[in-house]
Amino acid sequence: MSEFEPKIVAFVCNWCTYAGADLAGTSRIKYAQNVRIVRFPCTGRIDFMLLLKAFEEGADGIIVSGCHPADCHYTSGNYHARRRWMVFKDLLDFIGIDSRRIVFSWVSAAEGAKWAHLVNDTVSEIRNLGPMKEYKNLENVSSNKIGELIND
Amino acid sequence: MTELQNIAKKLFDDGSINLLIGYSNNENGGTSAIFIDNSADIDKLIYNENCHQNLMVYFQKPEVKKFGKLAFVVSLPGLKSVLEIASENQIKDGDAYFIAIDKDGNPSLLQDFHQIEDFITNNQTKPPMGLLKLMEKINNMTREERWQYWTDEFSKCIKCYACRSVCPLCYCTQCITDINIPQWISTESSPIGNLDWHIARAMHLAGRCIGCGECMKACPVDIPLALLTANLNKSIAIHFGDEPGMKADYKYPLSHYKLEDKENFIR
Ligand code: SF4
Ligand code: SF4
Ligand code: FES
Repeated sequence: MSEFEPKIVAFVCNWCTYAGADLAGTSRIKYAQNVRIVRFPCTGRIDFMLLLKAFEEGADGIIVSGCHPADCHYTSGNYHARRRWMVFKDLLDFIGIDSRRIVFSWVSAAEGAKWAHLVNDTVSEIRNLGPMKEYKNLENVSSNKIGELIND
Repeated sequence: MTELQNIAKKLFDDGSINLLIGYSNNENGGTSAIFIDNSADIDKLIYNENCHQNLMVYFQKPEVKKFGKLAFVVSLPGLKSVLEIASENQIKDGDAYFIAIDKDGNPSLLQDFHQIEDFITNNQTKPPMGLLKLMEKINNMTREERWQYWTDEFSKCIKCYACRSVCPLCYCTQCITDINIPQWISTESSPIGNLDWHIARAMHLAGRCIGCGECMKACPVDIPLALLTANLNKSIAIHFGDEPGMKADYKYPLSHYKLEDKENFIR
């Protein structure tokens, strides 16, 4: 059997991390091919529902990355995002979704090498965690138990 | 006439209000909300330990708003909702009168947010033990057990949205779950749709839920919903030191920030 290749979706902001990833490319830095990049105006725009959709569509891991503090193109989107991620991570933990599958980072437009490392690290960490089977198994959960309740 | 009815009558008599929302006995031996628009009905007004519905849920309804001057019978959770919606600019000081029931069951008339803040500080109660115990139990489970626990709970959900209807803070005119372009949350009761609904609902109430527990009481299949928001509020208290429903000038923690917010989880 071939080795498990994790699917990673990266939600990045246009102004820093996307440019950083671009720089990694133009600098010809090689990194793992497992990542699909989705570009957003700002980390402040990255709603938690988007992360859930990525898992639903089969992602095994997610990267969320944008401008370093004090560098957000819209001044404070990343500060708001930082708070949102803090509580969202706690909610996922409470529900039993492995929050290690979501990696948060700041990558600036000059940090092509950091981007490449981030992707490589994430891919190897998710490879160790294995496929995101919780979501796939959901398909097998009986669609709702109300039938059983009524029959009781 | 009871003290509660006296206060209500006076409000009608001096023309302060056009509508009072309180509790009355219903034909099933329980209590229901009653909407009183003239003082002749005041003798139906009661308050006892069965009156738990959070009546502030009606404040945002256009059918209620059109009456203009309003009064509500409220206990601690209702008053916390008043301050929370005040902090969200949904109610202004003086928009309504509040007949507050204290922890001994005695009514008093509160008119401004300052009085409400003092009342809340003086009437604090501990959250129900059962809820705290269950929260601790879940937090002590392994991650796999937690996932199993919530998958089982969510699988019971029939998407009736009673939890949303009774919540004084679920007042958006269009809820994310009703939006179909794009369809964020599937309308059927399906495992993924249910998970999406519960995560979205909890996140949209994070740092806003005042813990009245109405969602949980309304749920026909007994999903312990208030645990999700209570746990989120716990993280918000730990990370940012905020607690909803205590002050009218509360700043919603997810639309404010501090430069020194924690970021040891960011690479
Ligand atoms: S306990 Fe439930 S009904 Fe009450 S404010 Fe919180 S989410 Fe809304
Ligand atoms: S009240 Fe219960 S069954 Fe109805 S939508 Fe809410 S959680 Fe689901
Ligand atoms: S523009 Fe990059 S985080 Fe706001």
